[in-house]
Amino acid sequence: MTTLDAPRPVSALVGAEPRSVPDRLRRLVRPFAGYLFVFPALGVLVVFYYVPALLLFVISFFHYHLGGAGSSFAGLDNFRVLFAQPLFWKSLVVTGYYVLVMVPATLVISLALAMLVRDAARHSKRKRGGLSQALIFLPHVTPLVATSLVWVYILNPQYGVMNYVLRAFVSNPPGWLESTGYSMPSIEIYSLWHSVGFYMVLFLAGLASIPDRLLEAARVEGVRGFAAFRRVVFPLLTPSVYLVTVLATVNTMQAFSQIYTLTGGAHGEAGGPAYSTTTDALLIYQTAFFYNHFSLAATMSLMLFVLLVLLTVVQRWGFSKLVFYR
Amino acid sequence: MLQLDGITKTYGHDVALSGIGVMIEEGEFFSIVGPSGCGKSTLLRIVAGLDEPDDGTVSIDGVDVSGWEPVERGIGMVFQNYALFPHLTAGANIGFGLKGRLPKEELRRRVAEIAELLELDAAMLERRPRQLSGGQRQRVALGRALIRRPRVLLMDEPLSSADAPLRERMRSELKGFHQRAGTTTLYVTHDQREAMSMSDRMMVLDHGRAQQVGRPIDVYRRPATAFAARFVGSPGMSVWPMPVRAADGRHRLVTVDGNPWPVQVPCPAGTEGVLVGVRPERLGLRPCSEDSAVLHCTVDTIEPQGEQALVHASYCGNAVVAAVEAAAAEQLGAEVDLWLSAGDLHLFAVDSGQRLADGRGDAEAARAGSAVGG
Repeated sequence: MTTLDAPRPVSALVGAEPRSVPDRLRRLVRPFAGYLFVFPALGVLVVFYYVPALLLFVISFFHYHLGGAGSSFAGLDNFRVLFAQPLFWKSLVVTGYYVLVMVPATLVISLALAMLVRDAARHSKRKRGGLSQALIFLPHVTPLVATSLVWVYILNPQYGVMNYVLRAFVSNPPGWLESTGYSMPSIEIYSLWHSVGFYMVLFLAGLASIPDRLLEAARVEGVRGFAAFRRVVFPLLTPSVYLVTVLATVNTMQAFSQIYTLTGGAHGEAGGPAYSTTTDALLIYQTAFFYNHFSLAATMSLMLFVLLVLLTVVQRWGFSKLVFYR
Repeated sequence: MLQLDGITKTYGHDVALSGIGVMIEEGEFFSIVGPSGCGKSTLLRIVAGLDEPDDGTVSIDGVDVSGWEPVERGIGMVFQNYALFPHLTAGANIGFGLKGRLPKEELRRRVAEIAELLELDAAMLERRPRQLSGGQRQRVALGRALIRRPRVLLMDEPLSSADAPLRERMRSELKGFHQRAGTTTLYVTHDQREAMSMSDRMMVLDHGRAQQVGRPIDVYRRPATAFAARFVGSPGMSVWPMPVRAADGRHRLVTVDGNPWPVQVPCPAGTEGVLVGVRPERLGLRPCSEDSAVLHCTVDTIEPQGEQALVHASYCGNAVVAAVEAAAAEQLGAEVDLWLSAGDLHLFAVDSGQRLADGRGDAEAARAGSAVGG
């Protein structure tokens, strides 16, 4: 490498000071300084993220055994086996059910909460909604596994608090995690409890960027309440709606800890009853670490990845007409 | 037409408005002018129905509209910085309030009608606010306020976001528009020049109290309070306190060093001083009448303005401004004698700032030939 391209320090042009050793070192390092700063983070990413991701892609085309010994090229065998598995298709349906309920519910509930908190803040004396905001956000900072275990007790059909309360209204409350029909809704209730606070904060940030004056302008024109929400607030909030939709989709498609824990992962029986809560993530985990079928698990991960990319592309396209950026 | 009666509003311990009452006539262009924080925007919001007063009533066409929504009051409003909806086109902004209330064709016709009145062409109606210039945004905001054919048009500092040349143009545009449309207009501004040049009548507001209501020229010639005197005019009146000495039943002004002034003061017995005001244009470098009085001043700065120059001077520690010929101002040294005619003096009470009943400044008004009620 020549030093021709490196900018010459002023001292060199003036010829005033002789160059010191640190000065020379600095000149030598300067062109790479940016890379040096990025390296630690990039190194971690490459070793623990990009390489495994690439390996996963490779493994899905091999009959792979842990450690690599005795592995052989499999072509599309893994895909053939996978597509012939009813459980794989079932898990797709379960995941779809989870995502299709969670994403709209997250949007509606967190936006409604954000509107309520903002309204409460506006009518409170100090014009802040700090406490209600903190209380709603609180579940999000609790560990998934710990609070899931608590919810196992809350949702216990015989002794749980949930049914204790419900018995006051209905004679035959649901069996929650122990029934195939209510196991998924149980997980959805828990997940919403845990996550809506986070999405609410995103919506609050979006709402804060809408000047009050616009709502007053709408009010002067006789547009208030829900009409004002529909015609002024929502259109200006679409960037937040898009962000929340994408984040909620990715997060729910990859959800694992709460499903594993709520459905009895501690006793090695996650995903039940009768596979009613076996999502993709759970099935991948069980295939890899329960049945030691790594190449099949890798193939499923690849499929999940492709599905996520497709979904995100579709969402981008769908939202491109809706989202308004100022 | 629009009547305000005893409007009072407090925020905690701060009095925003105190007993404001005024009657605004049909078709009138009425300005509320005052420094920031004087309560003028609060007053406008109360008229609009965006805020409720603690006390007092707003009536439109003789009907008390307290508690009515803005749209029920039949008002249109142009907000400060316009508050246009950024996600809607100019046309949709204008038609915002009528959308869904009129058939589509009818709405389009109304928008086109307003656009024509405001000289907005069809291409502009398709643009979003951020693609429009400041002047065009103002016209869109005006269009949105006017499309419902309001009985009263409210404007909250509509020119404050424009730069100086644009402001000048939009000022005349607004005035021209008012002359064509004749909508009763309530206009809020901190810029007394805007109020002076545009309004039929104006209210000078300070600390939530109406200082004076009247035609701009009358406020200029016969300010009712020392505040109005200082605030109106460019620059405003110079006002300073002077001692008063009683002798054989009459009160005379004296200078600080005890020299009598050729000016008699109408004030109750025991008065020790008054506020004296004079317009910069009425201060000269030479005596101009037989009852002239002189101020020995030190010159602070000289501000050339072309034909004239403003001499900022100090008289016994009080700021005094005189507008003199630029050529003469160039010759000035560190000291200057400023002459004024006793007839040009305006006198105000020291404590209340109220104009003293028959101050000699009235002569000026009389000379200008305007008929002003006592």
